[in-house]
Amino acid sequence: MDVDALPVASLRDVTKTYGQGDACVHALKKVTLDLYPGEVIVVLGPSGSGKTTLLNVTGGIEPVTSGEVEVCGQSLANKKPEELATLRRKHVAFIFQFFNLIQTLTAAENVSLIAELTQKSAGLHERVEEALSGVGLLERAAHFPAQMSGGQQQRVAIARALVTGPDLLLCDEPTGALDLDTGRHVLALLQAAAREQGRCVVIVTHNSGIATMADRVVRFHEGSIAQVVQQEAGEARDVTW
Amino acid sequence: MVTTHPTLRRKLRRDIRRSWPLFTALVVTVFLGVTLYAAANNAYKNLQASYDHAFDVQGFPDLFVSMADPNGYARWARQQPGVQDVRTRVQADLPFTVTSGSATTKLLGRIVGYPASGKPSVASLTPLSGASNPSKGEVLVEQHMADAFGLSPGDGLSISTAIGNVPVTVAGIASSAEYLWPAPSRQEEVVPYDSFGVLFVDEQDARAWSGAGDNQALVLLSDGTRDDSASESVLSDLSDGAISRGASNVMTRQQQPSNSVLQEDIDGFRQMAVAFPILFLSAAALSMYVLLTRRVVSERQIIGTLRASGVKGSALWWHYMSYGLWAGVIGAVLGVPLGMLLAAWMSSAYVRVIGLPSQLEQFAWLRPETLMVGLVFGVVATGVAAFFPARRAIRIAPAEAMRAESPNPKTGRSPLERIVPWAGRLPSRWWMVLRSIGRNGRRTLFTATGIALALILVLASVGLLQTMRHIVAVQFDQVATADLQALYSQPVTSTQVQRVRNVPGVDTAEAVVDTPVSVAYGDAVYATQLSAFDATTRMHGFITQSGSPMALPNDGVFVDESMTAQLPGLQVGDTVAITFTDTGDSVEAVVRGMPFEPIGAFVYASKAWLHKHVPQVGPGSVQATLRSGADAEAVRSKVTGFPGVEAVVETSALQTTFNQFTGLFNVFIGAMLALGGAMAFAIIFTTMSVNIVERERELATLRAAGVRFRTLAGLVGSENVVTAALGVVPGLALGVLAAQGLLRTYSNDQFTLPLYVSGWSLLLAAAVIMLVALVSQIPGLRAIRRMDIATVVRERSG
Repeated sequence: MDVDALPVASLRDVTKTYGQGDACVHALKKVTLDLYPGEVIVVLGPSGSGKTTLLNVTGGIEPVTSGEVEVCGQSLANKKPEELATLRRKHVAFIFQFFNLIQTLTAAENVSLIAELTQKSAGLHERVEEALSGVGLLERAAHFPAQMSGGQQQRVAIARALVTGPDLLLCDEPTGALDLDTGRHVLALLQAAAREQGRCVVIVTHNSGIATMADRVVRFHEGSIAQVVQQEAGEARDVTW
Repeated sequence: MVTTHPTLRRKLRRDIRRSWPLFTALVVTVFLGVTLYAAANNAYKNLQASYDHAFDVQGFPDLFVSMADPNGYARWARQQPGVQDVRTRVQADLPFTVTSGSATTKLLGRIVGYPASGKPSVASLTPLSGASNPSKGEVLVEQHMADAFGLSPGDGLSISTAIGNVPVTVAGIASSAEYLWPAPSRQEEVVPYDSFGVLFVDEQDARAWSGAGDNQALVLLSDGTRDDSASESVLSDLSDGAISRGASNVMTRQQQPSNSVLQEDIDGFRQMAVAFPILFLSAAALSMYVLLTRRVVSERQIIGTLRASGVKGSALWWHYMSYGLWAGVIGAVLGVPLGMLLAAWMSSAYVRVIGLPSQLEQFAWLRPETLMVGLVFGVVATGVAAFFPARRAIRIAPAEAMRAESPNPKTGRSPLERIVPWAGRLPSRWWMVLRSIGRNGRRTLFTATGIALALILVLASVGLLQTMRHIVAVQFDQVATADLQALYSQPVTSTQVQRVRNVPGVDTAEAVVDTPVSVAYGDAVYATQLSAFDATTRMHGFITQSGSPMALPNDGVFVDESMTAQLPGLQVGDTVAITFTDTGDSVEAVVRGMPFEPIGAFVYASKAWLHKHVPQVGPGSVQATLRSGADAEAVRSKVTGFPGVEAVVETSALQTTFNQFTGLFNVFIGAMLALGGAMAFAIIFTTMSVNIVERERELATLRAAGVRFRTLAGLVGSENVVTAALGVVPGLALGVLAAQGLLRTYSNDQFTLPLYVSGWSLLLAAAVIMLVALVSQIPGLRAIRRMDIATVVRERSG
């Protein structure tokens, strides 16, 4: 983690509410947080504490109610959906709990599709191979999602996320559907993305065991940051739950 | 129709509310099918009932016999079993002169003898105004003629009779079931409205004016016999009896010109009452199947949970069936009354056009059988479509249903990739499109089928329109090339021809023979007309179906190609026996060619050939072509005034009459195109929406990755367009076949309708359907734009 660097993303007094009147739910309350390159941040908290909403507003797939979000120096306020899509294309990638791979495409095609569609197709074939090789699935490149295990599918999802070279990797329960060994493997890949490639990796989970691999642990409670712990990160392969 | 489980009933209501655009699309498709069924079926029944009533009230004959001694035949026929009554009368075609304002029109009309008092039991009239029977020196005018010339009781006109020009007074206007469609003969089913008229005259006047006695016997069967299966043999015996007594023409009720034309329209309505529901309800069924199958798949986990909780399979089955049945019931309940209203409007508009008197109308707004069948159509179509997904729902095992991923997702390489090795190097987005088409083969098949159904509807209509336009163009540009025909009372002399030729604006003129004949080949006999021209005539074109010219032979005759249906086995080179009705002469002639003529079925010969074999038959008319820019009305007026001219007919007037029919077709086609488009829209909208719902998570993931909306819309749009395109080729082929089938029903010995559809029309029809397919994606694409990415990406797949 480079503490002298500018933050990849900054949240200032971010509030997010759903509904109105008596049905109004405050998912985020005045949240302020900076995310730095090369950093692994684990966001912990019980269900409904605002963890996923934090990811969504940071990635620009949900608008904030008040406050300000900046990603790579660009404010997300007043940006049109297509401008937000452009920003994500250049700087942000998501990894989801249920992988969200396209069932009709092979592993390699799932990875290359994002690069093709985001118009980063120069040297595409090499980059896809490199991404798949990075997650240890080069030999599975021609397999369809239905022919792979959950862990393999999540590794493809990581390769897909990394192939465009994002500055910010937002992971929502990336091990939620995986067993311990498979989960460790996936987490190690994410940690490597931060340490070796300098990306900022944000992992949202309710699994406190994952916190040991984080450079910073942010605990959420009822939409607010309850605690921020800066720590010496452990190895992802030693994570247990 | 209730779900047996109250909570499932609530779920059903909410499901319908949540997916109301799709549910509405289904309801509309059912609604259109049922509406058109009810409209066509009731219209057909209204018209048939009205005709039947008119026939019943007026004693419309079952057999029309033309012969020299009809009274002797009538005496015999009255003794035959099944015969209710026989009436004899005079029928003669004579020239009329009608003066309306400053315009004098000469036309070839028809006088028909009618009793001076009382109502005959056979072939009576329905009086519309004035007297019910004609007195001596008076006439009852058939209503179409009265309308064409604005005649009313008290007006006068003159008839050129055997005893000279006779002025007569209009005593009344009447409607006759024989002339609901005023056609002089089977050979002339369509004539300009002011070129033919019928006058009903006192029987004694009729004999005196025609210069002959009764020449027609009209046979009426008893109701029991007509409705009996034996009626055919009774009519056959009566026909044989007539022929053996020297009848020159025997015509059944079905062959009667007016009835024949109107019956074709009724048959058209009847076919529409079958074809439309099939097309639309098939489309509704396909859409319902696609939609409900998707719902069952997406609710697999809910179904599993309910089944694991002990909910009965029958309750679940009924829950999904209910979704389909409600769409059918709502569509049918709305469609049947609207269809019945449409039928009432169509029936009224139709009978107004043909002039059926209101007292003969037998319209029923509510027909229980239409109501029942319409409801059953709607419910059965959607019920059958819902049955299979509903069955699939209860076959899902609870344990299997609880799995996150759909079992056995259909993935793998497409056949193209296996066949073409380098295809694997294509961009992934291409494979996303192509493999998505194959991922749900049944849905792709149904979408393509829906497109094909829409194309069938469109092409059948376009084929009908283009063929009608084409045959009118061929008939009047290449076949009937004369611009004007002057009919004379006596054989035409060369001086009379020259006189016409000298009229300013006339290019050339030629004496022409038109005489009634019967043509016999083998056991078959066909009554028609022989027309004789100069061998190098410019008044008539002889062409093959491909348009190549044929030269009229000096030795032998041409027989219209369509006559082969009436004279089975007849080929070029065969010999036919031609009997001239007016003289009784019979001549054997070699068929030298079979020209193609869309309208009519005639025999043609050169005047030289005719003069050689039957010299006593002389030319009765002069045909002329006009110079470009000539004042046709001035020419007509001039020729009308020439001595001996009984009537003048302009080819353009006939063409105008045909074009008016084409105008009606245009309206019909417009409606069909709109309905075809609506059907295509409903199908594509349903399958597209289902496609998007099914792939929502994939699309949301791509959006989260920063893929532009335009790019996603392009991918999804391409997939749907390719799927739609799969239906275009079979749709074009089936559409052409449907058009051919439709035209076949309109074809008879008088109308030869080979399908003519231009390549451009096929392309245009395909393009229109593809355009509809594109437009129908707009709601789905808007849904992608509005998609809640954050929510969708977190859902488990189903």
